[in-house]
Amino acid sequence: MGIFELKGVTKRFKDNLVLENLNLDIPQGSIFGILGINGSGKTTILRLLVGYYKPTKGEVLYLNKKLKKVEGKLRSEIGFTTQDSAFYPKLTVEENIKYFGALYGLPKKTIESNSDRILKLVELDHVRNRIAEQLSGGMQRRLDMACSLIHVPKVVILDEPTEDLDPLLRKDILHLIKKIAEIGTTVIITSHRLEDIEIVCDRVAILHNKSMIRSGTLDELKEEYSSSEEIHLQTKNQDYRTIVKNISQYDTYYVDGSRLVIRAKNAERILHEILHIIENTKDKLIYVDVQRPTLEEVFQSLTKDVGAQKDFLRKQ
Amino acid sequence: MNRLFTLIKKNFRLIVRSKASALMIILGPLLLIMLVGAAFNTANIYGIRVGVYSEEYSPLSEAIIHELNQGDYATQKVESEQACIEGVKNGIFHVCSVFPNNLKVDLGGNIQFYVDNTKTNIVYLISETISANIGKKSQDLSFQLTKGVVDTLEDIKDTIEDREDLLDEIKSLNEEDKVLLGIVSNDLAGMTLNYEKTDIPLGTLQSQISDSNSSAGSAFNAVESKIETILEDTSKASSKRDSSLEKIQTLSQNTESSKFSIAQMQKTFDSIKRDVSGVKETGVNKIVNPITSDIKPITTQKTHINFIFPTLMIMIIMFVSMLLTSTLEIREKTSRVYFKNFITPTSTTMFTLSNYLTNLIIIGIQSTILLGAASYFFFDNIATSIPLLLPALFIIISFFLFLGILLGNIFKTEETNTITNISLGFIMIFFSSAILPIETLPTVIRSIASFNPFFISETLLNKIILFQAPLKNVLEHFLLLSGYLIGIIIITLISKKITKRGQ
Repeated sequence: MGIFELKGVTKRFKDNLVLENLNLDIPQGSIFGILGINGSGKTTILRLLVGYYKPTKGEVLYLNKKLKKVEGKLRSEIGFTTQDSAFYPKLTVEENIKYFGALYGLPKKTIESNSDRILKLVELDHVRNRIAEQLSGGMQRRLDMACSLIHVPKVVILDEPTEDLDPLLRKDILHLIKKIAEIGTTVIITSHRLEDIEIVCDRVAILHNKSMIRSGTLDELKEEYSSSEEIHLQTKNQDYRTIVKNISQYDTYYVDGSRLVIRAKNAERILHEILHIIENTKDKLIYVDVQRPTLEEVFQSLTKDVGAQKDFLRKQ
Repeated sequence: MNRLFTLIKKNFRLIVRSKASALMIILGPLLLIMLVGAAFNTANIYGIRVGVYSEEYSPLSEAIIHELNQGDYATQKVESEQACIEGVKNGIFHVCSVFPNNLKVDLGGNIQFYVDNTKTNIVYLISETISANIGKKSQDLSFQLTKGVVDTLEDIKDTIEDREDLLDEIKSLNEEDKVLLGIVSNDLAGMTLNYEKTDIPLGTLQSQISDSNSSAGSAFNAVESKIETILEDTSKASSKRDSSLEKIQTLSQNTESSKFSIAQMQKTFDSIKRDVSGVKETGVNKIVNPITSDIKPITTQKTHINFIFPTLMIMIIMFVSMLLTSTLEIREKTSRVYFKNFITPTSTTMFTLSNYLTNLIIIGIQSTILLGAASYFFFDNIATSIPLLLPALFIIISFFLFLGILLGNIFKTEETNTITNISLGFIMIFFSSAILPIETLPTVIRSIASFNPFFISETLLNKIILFQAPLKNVLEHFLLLSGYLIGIIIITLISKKITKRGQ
């Protein structure tokens, strides 16, 4: 039984159709990633999950029950971290956390003990008395998460948690997400950063053209939608035209800087052919590598809309 | 309760930590009332500059100018009427006074004042005080003139009193004449003068004489002839007596008439004496000012600030309440935290309640400071009004707080909200007695305006603070405002439900 289930959900804002006939099952205890380009409706899905938006059509189930019937229970069992750091900048770290603890209806003692634990978890216990606006970007993101975790929720929803963060801070946050999942919390995460999703998520759903086009574990998706492998090579003469001309049964190729990238289902046989060609043309192999497809490739395979792909890739 | 307390605590922390907001919220209203209070404080008026012009200054006009200088006025003579008026226009003078050429009491005259009506705060005050000064001088002059008239009348009275003996003398002579005339008349009337020849027995006497002596006959004839002559004279005397009696009768009537005239004259003199005495007793002052008006205030307050204090207080409560709650509502609604707050199990009603209570505490503190200052500086007996004042303020503040929450809930941006708040506030002020008395409005608008919550609040506070009205006199206002409060709470909660974000 999934913790959340969306059945034929359509969401329309006046004339703007954002989601259409969406079906999604989010399993309990996993880190579930929702992938999609900017404006694809990821945040709308999250807000539908917590009852902030009502579906125009279809229904949202929480623990197999209609959301309307379990709205109170749901609100006390979820934590939500938005794209923008959502806390009061003029309050201290501890005041913010305790404030949300009170809003979740926790007793004072529980708030005290939970805030200590959460502050340690997010590594903010040393700045607990600092005014929130004085924190660094990464700390602010962690504080936002801490505010969502004070009531030890069953589900934590993270909307673009690594957005606008430098690589080091991103790494910190992803590490924190894993830590949150380790304590048994279901994590639902949205991002357009495929590499982030790939690092932390057990399962993903890909959102495109207003609907969910595929969901599953990362391995399943890679297996299913990207059976090709990539051969990355570089020769001394870089006469890649001759190589491409003489090999057979490849899917596609492109030149990435000084390297040739060939995508093919039977990489081993193609590699053998390439080596033979290089030998015949008296060229010299400088670099060669065979890589498994990335989530990005899966995404590319699934989203046929070239314009959208380009936009997506440009934003990377 | 913990949630509510936490929310209120959070609101206060946010206000206190934003120093500019804290200063504006706490000191703003106090500063406002201090400035307005100073502007409307009419206990004293200082350094009023009066431009004076006259083609020719008479002793009287100089005396009036001197009178003005004795007060808090600084007069300055200017060379022309135009320069005097320009002086007012340019702010050199507050008032320009133009005296008639060679002003004299016997000639009379009209002193003209030119004032700048744009300075509404002081113009009436200046006009009033200067007119009072001129009036005083004019009254002195009238007093002197009238005193002269009264003194002359007093002289007349004295003369009359002096001549009153003569009148008594005439009266007594008249009485004597009348008595003498009566005596003469009686005497004359008592005289017997009606004799007839037949009454004398001449025939018998003649026959006896004829028989005895012829010479006696001739004597008889002579006697007879004499008797006839006497009888003729007696008859003539009788006629004259009758005529005299008639004349005496006329004379007597004239004497009676004179007596009546003297009595009338005596009456007239008495009346004149009485009237003149009356004038003296009335006094010159009452003649100069036969009817005086004395406007007695029904309150014991001294300056204009006292009268407008309740209105000022309501204005501050209204604007601060509406702006504070609506701004807080919009800030919360548009803040990044709104969504996060929304998805917690804390209801929106709780947030509304916390907004209301936070601001109720702030406005409550501000009102306490205002009342404290008012009590210290110009209201001695405000403490006696506290039992009614507190519930009245609670209802009034609550109403405007919920109105602010409602507006904050309807509007999406602070700018629109602020403009709406100010506009609504001014509409309420215009349709009240704050600027012009409500009685000056057309009947229909007046009857609508009488339901204006600002007007009701203002009236309620006026009655409680200025007149220490008992509950029965203000019960209607209490009930009306309570009704409004309940209504606005219901509308606010409905609007919250309708405009709940994220639907």
